[in-house]
Amino acid sequence: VTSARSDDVLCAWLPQQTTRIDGITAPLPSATVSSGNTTTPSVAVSYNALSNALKLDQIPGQREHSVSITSCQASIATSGSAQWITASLNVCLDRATFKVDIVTDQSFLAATSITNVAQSIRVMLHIPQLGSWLGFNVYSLLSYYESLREAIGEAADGSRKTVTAPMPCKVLSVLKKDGDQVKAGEKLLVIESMKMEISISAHLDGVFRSKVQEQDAVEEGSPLCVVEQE
Amino acid sequence: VQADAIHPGYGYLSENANFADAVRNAGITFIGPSSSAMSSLGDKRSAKAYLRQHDSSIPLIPGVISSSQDPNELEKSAAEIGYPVMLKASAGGGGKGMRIVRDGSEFSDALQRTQSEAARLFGSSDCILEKYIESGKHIEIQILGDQHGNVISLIERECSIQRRHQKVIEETPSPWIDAKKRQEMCQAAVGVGKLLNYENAGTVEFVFDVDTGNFYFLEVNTRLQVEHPITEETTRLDLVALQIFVAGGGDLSTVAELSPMPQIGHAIECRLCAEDPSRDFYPENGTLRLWRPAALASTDPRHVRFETGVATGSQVSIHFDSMIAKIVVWAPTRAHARAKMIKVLSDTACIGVETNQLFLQSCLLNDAFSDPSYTTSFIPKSLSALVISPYAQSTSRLRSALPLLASFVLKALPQYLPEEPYKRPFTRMRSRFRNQAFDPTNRL
Repeated sequence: VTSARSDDVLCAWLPQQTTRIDGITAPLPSATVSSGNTTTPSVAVSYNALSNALKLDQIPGQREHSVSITSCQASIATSGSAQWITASLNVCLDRATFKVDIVTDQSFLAATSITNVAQSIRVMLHIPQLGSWLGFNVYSLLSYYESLREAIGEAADGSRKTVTAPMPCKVLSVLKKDGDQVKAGEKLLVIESMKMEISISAHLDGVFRSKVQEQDAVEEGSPLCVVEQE
Repeated sequence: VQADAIHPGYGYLSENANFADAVRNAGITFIGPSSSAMSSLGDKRSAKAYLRQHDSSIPLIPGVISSSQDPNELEKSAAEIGYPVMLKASAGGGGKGMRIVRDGSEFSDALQRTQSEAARLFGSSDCILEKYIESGKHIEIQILGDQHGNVISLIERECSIQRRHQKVIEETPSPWIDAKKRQEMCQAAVGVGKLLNYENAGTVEFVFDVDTGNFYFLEVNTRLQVEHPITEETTRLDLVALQIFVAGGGDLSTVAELSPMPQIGHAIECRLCAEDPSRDFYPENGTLRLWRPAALASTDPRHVRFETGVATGSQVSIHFDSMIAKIVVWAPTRAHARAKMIKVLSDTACIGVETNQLFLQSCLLNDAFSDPSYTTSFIPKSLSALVISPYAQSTSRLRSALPLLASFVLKALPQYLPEEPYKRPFTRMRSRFRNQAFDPTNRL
């Protein structure tokens, strides 16, 4: 299973007939199934949906492609303690040839690292025809459904709205006091990144509570403040 | 380090008069203009005031020159000039500390933000107020002066493709102005330089009102600019070499290459930045996992330039400007240069950090780029179309195969990795090593 942004795709290989490898890609059967009065997506239900589709040997929307590698030069890149693989390939995709640059986010590609529960390996590739690079998280079937289970668990808690830093930044000023009533669109904080000042505003009405102080250096994704709905 | 001279690059220090003074007082040549030229031109307000006083032939943008910083008074002046207006840090540059205000209700907040940015970045919260010209082109003239009173112009650069008031694509010559207008602008620019006995490289920026054909003086940048390579490509001159030449007392009238100055073909520069165009160009950061410049950079190195400090494994941090590379191409015509730049951009692998790589190609492929009268509203006007991949249609079949390719390559990769060389123990020992010299059997 590979996932890029919001489109998760199933990849499966067809029985090998020649030196060329054929496989299919297909959108995953819908994961949102209303059962009784809850509409939360259930991992088990969507897993069963896929399982049934595979048994029928026909997944809706599946497309067949062929892939083969004509040449490949791979090496290991290092930055600090991090290591990953970079490779430059000539591939044959659906009988057309492409020049592809590929990198991974880690250097251990053994089968064990991808079957680790809920883990994926990130593959990023550049093809001149695309004009830029695209990234895919590659999962095994098991690790994919495990990661879904974790994601659903986190989403269950929703009434508090945490505002997170859109990028690593410095907090220049906190405009509201804890306990202040704020309205959607109101400015809450001013941060600075790359020598630019950016105002952070509320997405919804609620009570403001700051998670940072002025002059704090903040990492991307860490909470800046909470706007709690009453 | 026993340096004879310092070249200040094009960062913030390059226009800092105190820095230039400190360098000169230390007995080192500063490769740049005099600190008096810097301080009278570096500050936007005093530059305008100076020109108004000394040379009325240079057209200025309508605006307020009074130095009052009182918010109420400024707001009143803004209403008098008529919205939209532009607030600028008087000591600013590089697109930082600028805001367009379209409505009186936004004015006080915008002023506060601009003043605070100005104070932190440029050491002075002083702001000026100008009429914002909506359908304007940003055209600048490169000038060069020496210690013998010569000031020459090295023709224009068109820098209208901007986001956040920062240039992303520049070209020369401008596809829009004709020979007469070009001469008029060059004359005005040289006039500004002569007035100040300007020495070394500088850029006189103009805003060009496409509707009326009038141009107005904007400011002088008293440094070599980021986009100077396109001038180098079309004039075949090395600007940095000329800077050093005049800093060493050289006389420009003796340089044979300048008379007459060549002007050949067309050059385009693109600034590759770590940013997300679909999120209002928010700066991005992370690890650059692969950096491989286009093949043309090595097969056609004379006409394809990559100027960058990054390599595979570089960290792109938030502590500097988001620009990670300048890409410059030259070709005999504008159409050729445009096609070449698109090819170079698409063939460059810059993987791991979100960049404007695809956005730049969108801009170059956009129909509006074929219209020579494009203005600084080029990006804001067609933003929604520009953030979509220009190749989305032509590559849909390829795209649907990519997930399969990714998982296939992942499985196949280990077999292509170079074998880890087997590290034998004691390989670093010299042969016939003996560590007990006193043992008679070890004596030779």
